[in-house]
Amino acid sequence: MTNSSRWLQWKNVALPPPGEARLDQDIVAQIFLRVRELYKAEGGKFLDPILNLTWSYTDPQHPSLSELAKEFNGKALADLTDPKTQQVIKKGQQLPGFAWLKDDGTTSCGNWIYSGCWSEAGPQLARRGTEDPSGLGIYQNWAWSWPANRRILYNRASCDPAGKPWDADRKQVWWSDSSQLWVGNDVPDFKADSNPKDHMGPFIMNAEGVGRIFGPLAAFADGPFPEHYEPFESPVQNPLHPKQSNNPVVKKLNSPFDKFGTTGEGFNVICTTYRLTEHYHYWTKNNPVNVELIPEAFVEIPVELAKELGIEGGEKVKLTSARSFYIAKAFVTKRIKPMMIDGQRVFQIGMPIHQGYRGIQEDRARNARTIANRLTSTVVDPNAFTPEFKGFLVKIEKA
Amino acid sequence: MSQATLQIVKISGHAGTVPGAGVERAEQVCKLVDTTTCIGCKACEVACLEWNGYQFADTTFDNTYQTMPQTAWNYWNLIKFNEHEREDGTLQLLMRKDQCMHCADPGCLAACPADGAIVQYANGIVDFQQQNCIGCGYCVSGCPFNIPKFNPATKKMFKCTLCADRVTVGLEPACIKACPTGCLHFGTKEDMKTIAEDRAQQLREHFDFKDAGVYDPAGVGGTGVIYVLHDVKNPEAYGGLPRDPHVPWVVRIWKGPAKWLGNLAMLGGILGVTLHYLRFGPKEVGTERDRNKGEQR
Repeated sequence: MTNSSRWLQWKNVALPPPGEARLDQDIVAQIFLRVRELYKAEGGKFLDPILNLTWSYTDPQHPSLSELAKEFNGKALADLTDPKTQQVIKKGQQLPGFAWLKDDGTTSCGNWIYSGCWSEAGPQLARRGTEDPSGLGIYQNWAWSWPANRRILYNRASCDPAGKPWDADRKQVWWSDSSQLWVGNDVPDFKADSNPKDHMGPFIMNAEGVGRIFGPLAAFADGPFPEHYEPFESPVQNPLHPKQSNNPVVKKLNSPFDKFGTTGEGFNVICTTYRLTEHYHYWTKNNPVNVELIPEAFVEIPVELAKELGIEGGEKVKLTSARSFYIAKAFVTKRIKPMMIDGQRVFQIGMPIHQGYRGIQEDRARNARTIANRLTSTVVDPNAFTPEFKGFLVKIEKA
Repeated sequence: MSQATLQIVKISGHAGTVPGAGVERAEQVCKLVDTTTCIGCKACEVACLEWNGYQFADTTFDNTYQTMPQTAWNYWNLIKFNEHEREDGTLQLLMRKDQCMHCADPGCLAACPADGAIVQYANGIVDFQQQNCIGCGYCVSGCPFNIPKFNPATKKMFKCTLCADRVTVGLEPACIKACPTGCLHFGTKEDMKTIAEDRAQQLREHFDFKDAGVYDPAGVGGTGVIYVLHDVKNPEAYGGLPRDPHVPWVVRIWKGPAKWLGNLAMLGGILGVTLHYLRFGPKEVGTERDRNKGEQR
């Protein structure tokens, strides 16, 4: 189990997967092995990494989680010696951490951030130590936190430039003159022997060593300053710079589904997608209680638009975008108001993403099988690749 | 929240008091529903269903986020949604958790003719005892909140128990435990009143809710479920919360003076029959011929 505090926590199996469910690692392993067979039989591009991938699990079809965790951690493929401390790691031994990784073929590692989670000392991620000597809630010996079991990232920033904690009551790490090292209640997220006199900055992943208010040009495809762009499909021009209404460096896909509509073609309603508190992604449409709470797919439509189209709440409507269509019941609401933009009345509608394809109600034909993200446009932002599912154009009619 | 069945006395990062704190004092227990911080997620509905062991029921989309029009015999906890337009034209999506109010002066109990079918515990919980229920439905006419519901299969009435089974062992009700925003609180009536009044004051002073207040209607002697409302002058907007609920006068008269009049009439009848007997003696049946005569007529 992982969490947003970057912990890896080992949990023992309580029950085998029910019904037709399979373990994630079994699914991935079995797909990979079949794909490799195809490549072996038929050949193809970029063969070497596929044919020669290390796959030395006891049962290749069912890799065990302990084998995988050990592989993430990494091991020595030859005898290694630390030139400073003369510490030796023998061939085949688990590595103590990412500092030992080399790019000369003498080490292997599944993912550098996880290196240290299952060392020669055993499964660090299975630890259950509840001691917290500092009283700060650090719990150094509970599970394992990447990287290097550091609980708070950039914890050097908790000290003044001289290496003394800003807050004497809440000491994370500090510079020890006697040992000439950074020490503390947490593992220092810093070069351990960097004397404060050398002025190394605390934000070690940034070249400047300090935090950033805005990103340097190289960090973002469209930086450095935040900017407003209209969605790729929009009924209005960007008022800031109409000649460049949307982001010039967005990434578009080039499949037959990646078409775009304009208001001129009748796609004159803005549509947005969202989730409901009652459902979780596309899973809970198979869970009876969630389905009881929100039983059917709906589209939220402003009262004013519903009146114009003669649509009553509960009637079926069809949304069509340049890409596909979607059928659901109309939820006529006062909560979405028409907008006046540049003297023009613009309607917005909203659709939850949870229903469609297969589920309790879909299998009983009470919900259409159409899915929300066939309607949306797959334009992605050039930095984080987040798809533009929150703003696109549709037309709406009675189904 | 913790999975432990032991009673918790302190909780990290939790808004308000510890759920269930102080209930072992056997004082009046109380649920506080802060409608101003409810997000309408319905986690309380699911918790209620699961704790009480009821199954999924079929529902239909009805142009609302509300799961069903009203509570059911096997669905005791329902968030009522209302798109409420205020006088200044602004819109509020009001959400109120509807369930048994556990009145200090319960109309259902007053109206119930079956011995022991409805009880009120020392801690204020009003509980239906289905083994004594005769399914007459009189409790419905006694309740100003439309809460008791009839199960046609077993012919018994059902409603929220305020999780009497959990509260007895020092736990908070299931709905309280499930609430992710902390808009549901549970504890003694006194503590809940204090939190509620503080919150209402905060809403009046620091937000634009001049009429924020606490709903704890005196007409039913106060309730074991109290609400913080943005506008306590308009409780009807919150899914039909009655402005001034009271036990219907029909029930009052029927179970009060009328009952005594009835008893008096019954006593009078018995007395009359006895006096008649003493004065005139038993009615004597005549001879064979008299009887035949009677039959011929």
